[in-house]
Amino acid sequence: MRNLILIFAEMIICYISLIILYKKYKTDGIYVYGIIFTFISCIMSLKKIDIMNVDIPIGFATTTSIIVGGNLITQKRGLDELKTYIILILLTVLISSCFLNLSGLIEVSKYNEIANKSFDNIFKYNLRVYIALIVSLIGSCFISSKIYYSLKKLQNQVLFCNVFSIIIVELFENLLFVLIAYLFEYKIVNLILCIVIRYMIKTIIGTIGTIPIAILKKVN
Amino acid sequence: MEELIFIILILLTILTTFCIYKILDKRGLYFSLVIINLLSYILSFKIAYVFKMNINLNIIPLIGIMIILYIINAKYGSKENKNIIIILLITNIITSCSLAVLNFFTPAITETISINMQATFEHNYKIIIFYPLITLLSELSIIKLSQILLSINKNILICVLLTYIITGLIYTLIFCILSYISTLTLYNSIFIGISTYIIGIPITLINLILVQSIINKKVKR
Repeated sequence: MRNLILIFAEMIICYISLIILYKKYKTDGIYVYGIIFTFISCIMSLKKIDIMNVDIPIGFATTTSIIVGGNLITQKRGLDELKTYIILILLTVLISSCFLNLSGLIEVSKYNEIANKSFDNIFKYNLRVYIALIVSLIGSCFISSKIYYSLKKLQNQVLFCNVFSIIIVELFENLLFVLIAYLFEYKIVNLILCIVIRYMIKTIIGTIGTIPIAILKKVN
Repeated sequence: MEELIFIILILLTILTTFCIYKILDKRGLYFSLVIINLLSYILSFKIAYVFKMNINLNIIPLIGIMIILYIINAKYGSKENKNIIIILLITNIITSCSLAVLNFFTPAITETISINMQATFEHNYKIIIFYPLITLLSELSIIKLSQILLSINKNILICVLLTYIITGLIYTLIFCILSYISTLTLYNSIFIGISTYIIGIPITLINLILVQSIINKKVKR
């Protein structure tokens, strides 16, 4: 129950940040949003929680809201501006993974030693998770925006476009992330359960993401 | 080996700023500022032992922030300062909130990273509280001082170095004292602060290469 409340809190933080940053800085605000939450998901996706006896990596709202951010850019500016958004996400993941991994290799000081060693243990040897994050985030952002744009041409309704693009793209995102990060590490049953549970939670979060898009659609 | 990685991290900071600036020009400087600020936030949780000194690792990206603020001031004037300060403050507050939420999740029993996260972020919770405040004060002082120094002396390299010498000591000392207030003794906190400050001087000198290359770009045009 506590974890569910925290997932909800994480989602609220994400969408409020998206609204504030867009209202203040327009498209640049969404880029900044993408950078901040890509960086945070690099840390969050390393931690796992227990749902139905399966270890599931968190960062549900952070990664989903990055895709929602991509949909918002497509809604407001079309597909042209998406290139910059994807480049920034790619650069952020690459730079932060390089920095965090390298800093974990530097010898720790004897002052505050336990915390320093823990810092090293968090960021060392997580290359698979980082690769999974890069591939799944960039792939899903790109595909989601393409789907959103195609649906927008058919019917310009935020709810319809966002919900359908999220339902399709989340399946793709979860499959990629979980398979790249945890294949051969989890049992097959756990792997499938992990994909299904993540998909359900993230689809709900993504569907709620229609609200900020609808609010910001009116902002010029 | 540690020293080599340390130098690579300095060069990586410069490369990050330079690359994003080349791709997106003025906006690139803002975006690199946000990325480097986030790196500085996370690296502030580690005290490393490099060059036989105990230093807080966030000094590397922190000097990067100072350099970018200088470049923006020198190239585009002071009208953007307010926006920059707000954007960095929002970034730090969002990160603090997210790290706080991350700490409260009940981890899976079989997992070890969660224990390490707890030892890093929960043990150093004072950094989560103080980092946004101290960075805000530091950025404000850098901007004010840069305006004063640039009006007196047009040589940006001397101005950057002087700014670090003045604001760096105050920042590193206040940060280390407040962040390790009940974790380390006051003497050790001051010792780490001064070591960090001293190592910051050569880092600033290396970073000045970036200032020169970006400012010179304007002259070539």
